[in-house]
Amino acid sequence: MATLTIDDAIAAFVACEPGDEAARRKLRERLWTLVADRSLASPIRTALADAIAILDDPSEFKGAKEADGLEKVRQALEVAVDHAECGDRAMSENEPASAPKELLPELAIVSKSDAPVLTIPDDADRSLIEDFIAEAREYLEGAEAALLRLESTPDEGDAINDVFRAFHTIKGTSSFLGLAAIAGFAHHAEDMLDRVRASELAFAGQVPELSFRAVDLLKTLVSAIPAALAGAAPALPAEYEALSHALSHPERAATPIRVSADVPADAPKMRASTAASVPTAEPLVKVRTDKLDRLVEMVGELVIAQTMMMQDGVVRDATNHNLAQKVRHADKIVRELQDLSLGLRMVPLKGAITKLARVVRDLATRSGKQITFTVAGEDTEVDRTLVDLLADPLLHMVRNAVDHGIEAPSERLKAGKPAMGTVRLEASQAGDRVLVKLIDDGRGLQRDKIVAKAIEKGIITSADNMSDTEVFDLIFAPGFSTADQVTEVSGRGVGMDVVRRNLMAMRGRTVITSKAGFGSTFTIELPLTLAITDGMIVRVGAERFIVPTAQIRRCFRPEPSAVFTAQGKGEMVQTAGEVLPVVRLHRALVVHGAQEGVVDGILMVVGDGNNRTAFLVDELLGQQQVVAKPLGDAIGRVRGLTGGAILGDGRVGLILDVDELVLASRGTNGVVQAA
Amino acid sequence: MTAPVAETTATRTLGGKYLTFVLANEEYAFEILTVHEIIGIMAVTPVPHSHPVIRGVVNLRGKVIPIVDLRRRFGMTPPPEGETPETCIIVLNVRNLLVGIAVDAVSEVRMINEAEIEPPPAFGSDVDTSCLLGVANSESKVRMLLDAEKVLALDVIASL
Repeated sequence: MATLTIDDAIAAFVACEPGDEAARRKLRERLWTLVADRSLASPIRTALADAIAILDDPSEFKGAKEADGLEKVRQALEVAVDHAECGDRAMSENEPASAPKELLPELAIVSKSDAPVLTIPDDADRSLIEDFIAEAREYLEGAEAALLRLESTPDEGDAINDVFRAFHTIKGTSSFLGLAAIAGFAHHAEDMLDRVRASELAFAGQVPELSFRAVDLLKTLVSAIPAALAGAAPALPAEYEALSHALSHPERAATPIRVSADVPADAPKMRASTAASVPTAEPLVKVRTDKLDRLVEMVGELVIAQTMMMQDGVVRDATNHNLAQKVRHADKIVRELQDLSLGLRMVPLKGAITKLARVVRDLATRSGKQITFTVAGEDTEVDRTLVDLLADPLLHMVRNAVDHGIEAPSERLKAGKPAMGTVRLEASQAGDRVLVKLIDDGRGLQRDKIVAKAIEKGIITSADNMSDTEVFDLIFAPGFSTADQVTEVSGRGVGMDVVRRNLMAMRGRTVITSKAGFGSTFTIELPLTLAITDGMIVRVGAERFIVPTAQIRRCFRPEPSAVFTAQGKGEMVQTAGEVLPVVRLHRALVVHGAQEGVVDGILMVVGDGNNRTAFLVDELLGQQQVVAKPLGDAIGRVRGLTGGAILGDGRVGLILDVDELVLASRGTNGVVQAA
Repeated sequence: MTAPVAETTATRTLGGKYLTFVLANEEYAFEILTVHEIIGIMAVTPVPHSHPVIRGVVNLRGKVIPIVDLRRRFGMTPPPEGETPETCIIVLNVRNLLVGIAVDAVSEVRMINEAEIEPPPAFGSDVDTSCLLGVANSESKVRMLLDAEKVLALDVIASL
């Protein structure tokens, strides 16, 4: 492309005899190539674009007028040649009257944001750019939510303003920071939305889709910034040029726009001037997350130190009444400080939920289903780390509900249900747990189908004695999928088992209830925070370990008659109507001097569904809230442990990874098996 | 260990302040800059399935740090007398990781001049000298200068 020059275009022009359309097409091709050549100065390219516009106008080449049309093209080319010869001299009276003005601003932008890669100026302020990344993401999510609102209520003027403001702010900030590629693109998006805002353009036809794609592309650009900061030059998305162009000319985009019905008749409702009515929020302070985490950690340490002091004999048995009172007072302050500091890390679940509305919309469109997605309780607060961890499982579950749960409209009508299916997400707080429910009114889980599939996949051999809950639980088994067809979306059988694994990693639980024909409810139960764990301290030999209380189903001392063996070694215990394998924790954890006999210790039932197992420990020492800490990089990951925590006496107690110990005892990686 | 470490060993001057300590009646020393603090021996929680040289973890003011048993690291037998009041833990800061080293006793912080330091002698295959920066010979005493990073061989231990 770089080999073409204006002379080539002129040669092509000379070849244009009246009536020779092929030659004109060739000229047009060369002109486009030149316009796209960013090494040319922008006035030259503008002039060339003018020439193309003339060529593209059929009225200029009608019959006898053809010679005039060619003459206009010639003039435009002359202007280009003049510019090429005189450099960037300003355009004079030669400017053709017919120049389509809308091309000009676009070209001007293109020449500013010219590199095909995302570049960051050398003198850029890195911290400002990092702030921008976070800010832009927030704005884009807001824009996406507003676009979804607009789709359901197209005349909601505030939503348009929200979207506009997002693009506008991103354009402003990115151009200030020298992120030309982002500023240029946001400018096009802003332009289009501005026209919608001014009621020049209806939010219909291609416009909503273009807006969504603009948001997506900006997201991609924004997430490429860190790479650019690191010195790489990430290429702009392939769609960049085409989408920029489509945004400047939404009318020309593939599907014709329906101007009539979709334009709100009472345009003033759009309230184009409400840009000033920014939703008021509490004043905020931005704090780096690592500082916040450090603060929470320090408070955790303070709580431990306080506990140790309270348990010290001198304080506990103090006869000095004054001292005891002072210690209690300090204790109260420390507890309040702890609550407060944990509250600092709490953020609304919204962050994990907003994206879902978009997912439902896209999936429903693709699969031809009609779905309303409603959300309740998105302001429920959980620990920041949990919001990030929750995003993926929720995504899988929503996909699952849309893909497997909700039926096609025809099927729904046949079943006597409205064609429009509903998927509802409800979040709420119950004590120190968070409940997230995903409710759909689809076909429900079909027990027979699940059982047949599980038998086919070799997950179970028979479901005779299994309750519905147990059967439903099978969909979380690795390699399970009930979709009749493997779809691009959720039929690959990876997904639900990942959901369960992720949720277990954050000490969450899942419960499914379902009624065939009426829909399913998936309930996720999570702790409010991962920073503090309720732990049961157990003694195994001379060592103490911490078992997360949430994972203990119950504890009991077995009767000798309830203990059985298989082939002389595999031990089992019968309790509450079920038979569970017994795992001696002291063997799994290589501790000496612990109780060998099952009946001499305490059995602790852990795990879910088919993984329920009884752990043998010597003694339960009591419950304590503990702050989980990593064992340190020098040790790395140790099998069967999730970390350590400081116990009341200042020693380190190790927190058991119950799931891993259970899996290991099943022989999947041989830790317990060897013992 | 990695190449850059070998490079710095070759080019840096070894003279400077060292913390000297006793292990099985032999005198060793760590460069003072790698020492974070010295703490008395405390109850160590053993960590199952961890590397044999890791004695366990302790609570260092709310932080959980691992304790490396230097005797085991050097393939020596445990002290016959067990832990004494002299036994203590040197907390090293290596590449921003805190790791405790259990030693029999800490002696002193002393200045060791470049001139007193000789390259590690060759003992043949019986003795691993890879952890030695050099040998300091002063006041008729020989002290082994240890390379903290190599003693801990952090990446090796963590990967096991």
